[in-house]
Amino acid sequence: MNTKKLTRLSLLTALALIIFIVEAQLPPIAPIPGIKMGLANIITLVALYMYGPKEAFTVLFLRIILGNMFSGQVSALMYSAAGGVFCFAVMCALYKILPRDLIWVVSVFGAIAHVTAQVFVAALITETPAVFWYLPLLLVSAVITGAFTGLCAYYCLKRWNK
Amino acid sequence: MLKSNIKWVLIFALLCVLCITLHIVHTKGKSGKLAVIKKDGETVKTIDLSAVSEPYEIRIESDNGYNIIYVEKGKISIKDADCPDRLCVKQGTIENGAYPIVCLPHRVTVSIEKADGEVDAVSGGGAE
Amino acid sequence: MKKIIYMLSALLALTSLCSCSTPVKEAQKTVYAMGTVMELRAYGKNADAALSAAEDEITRLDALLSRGFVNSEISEINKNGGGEVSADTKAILQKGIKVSDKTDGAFDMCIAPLVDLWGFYSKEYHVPASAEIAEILPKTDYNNLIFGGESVNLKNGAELDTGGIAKGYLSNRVIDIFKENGVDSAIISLGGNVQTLGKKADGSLWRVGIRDPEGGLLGTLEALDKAVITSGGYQRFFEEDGKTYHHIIDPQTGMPAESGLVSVTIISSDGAKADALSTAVFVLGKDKGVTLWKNEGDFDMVLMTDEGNIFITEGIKDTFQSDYDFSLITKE
Repeated sequence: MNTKKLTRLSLLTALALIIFIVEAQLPPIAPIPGIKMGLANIITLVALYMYGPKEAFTVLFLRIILGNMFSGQVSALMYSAAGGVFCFAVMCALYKILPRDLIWVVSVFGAIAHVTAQVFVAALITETPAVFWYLPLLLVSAVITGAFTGLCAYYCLKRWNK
Repeated sequence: MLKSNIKWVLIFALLCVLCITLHIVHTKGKSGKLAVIKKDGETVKTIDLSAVSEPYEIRIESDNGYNIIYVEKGKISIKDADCPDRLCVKQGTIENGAYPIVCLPHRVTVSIEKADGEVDAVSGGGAE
Repeated sequence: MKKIIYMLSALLALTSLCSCSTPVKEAQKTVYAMGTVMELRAYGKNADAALSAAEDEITRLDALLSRGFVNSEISEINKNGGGEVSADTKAILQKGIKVSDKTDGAFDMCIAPLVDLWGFYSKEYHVPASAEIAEILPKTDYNNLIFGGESVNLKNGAELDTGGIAKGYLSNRVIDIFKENGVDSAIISLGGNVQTLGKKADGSLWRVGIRDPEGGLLGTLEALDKAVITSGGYQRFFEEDGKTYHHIIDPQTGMPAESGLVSVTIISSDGAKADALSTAVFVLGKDKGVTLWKNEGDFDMVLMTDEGNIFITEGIKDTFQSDYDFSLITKE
């Protein structure tokens, strides 16, 4: 790993952390647990398209662990991690298949995977199967926020990489 | 490229319509009167909401903090909590079984179920 | 990079090692006495104090009334063929004799020697020979019990046993102690003898299930300041030569009662009365039980016959619920 790459990845991790923590401080956009913008995913997408799955996963992993510690939401780590990992797996599978212009589609699928995993974990941990009834609403929000973060990543990549 | 963009927009739009329909169908016609408060998946309290005469509060303590549950006739809400996001409080009042109130940081859920034969004690049930 | 990931993983593992549970505020106590498990639940400011006072009372009455303790009041009376009685024994005798009179001795506080003969106290069960029973029957007539208000006399070598009413009397006492301590909501189960006080914290009534002899519940009902006490042959029995013998002995025959009922539940504001009546009605059977109910009128019943039919009296028709069909008994 050369110094330039290390520096860039560090920078991306720092950026992701900042976005994550700032977003955690913002008031929720809807009074339903699990709905959030997921802006930090922009950075995961950028890392994925710039360097590949291995590097992107490192950035994601560090962001989730550190982010939850910094924002004092250790109890939310399980949901965050489950959603993050599943989302990442889906995005990795898709980013090779779909053309680069369709980052937003990759992102939407990632967001869908994210909320689905979160609902599963929430239902498991609280042992309340009724939590699954949140899924339709969460899917709608995933489509909207996923498309938004995907487009953000698309324009970021356009400027940084030319 | 524009074409494939439109294709995906349509697919996702369809998904959204489907989800919203499902949501509306599910929310409608839900009734229930038995509120179940769970912590860590274990029922800590069951309340017959139709039998509540005066509103009252229940405090649920967990390792991560507290939730104050407000019980009224036919409805229930989380009035206050010290969880980081306070989403459970913002979620407001529920009066049917469509959605539970969930406080993920404290692992507390408040749901409404159909009242069934839950009993407080069993006569003739003791070991002689 | 790897080292950092390992370190973070270790941190993550550490932080996830938290979260236990603390229960919602409610005072609860389990007491082992009178050969059974007693569950007490009380709500209110002084619930804790009320529970310890109740436990003291349970221990006191257990020591006073037990036939098993050599020094108990009951043992002394049996040893001496009578004697003066304390206020508690007096109250129990008054209530018990009233039920005996009304049920022609189907409830009998002199039954102990028969129950002994069958081995239900010693748990060395065996079916006695009919000659053995015939020999002992004169002893176990409730008319051998002469109660003079302050003292009791036992004729024909009879022995006094309050076992059929003591738990009901005790549950009355526990509820009284709760009230004295400012508890306004409670439910207790003294080995399956349920008694309730007031309403639940949410304003609804206590819901009491009645055990189905076959398992599960035969029904449920709401109880406001009521004792719900069930007698059933299923509660204690043994098998010999392929036949089942249960612990409720008919004082007339000296044999386990065969009245066609398998479970009798009495709902009454008086726990002692409900306790005695549940045994008596089990011995008497459905028809005589219904006549008794019509004459008395201050209690309700849930009866289950050996054919599985359920009958309830009209006083509980609004709150009784069952998965099975049931018939209503009215006074007409």
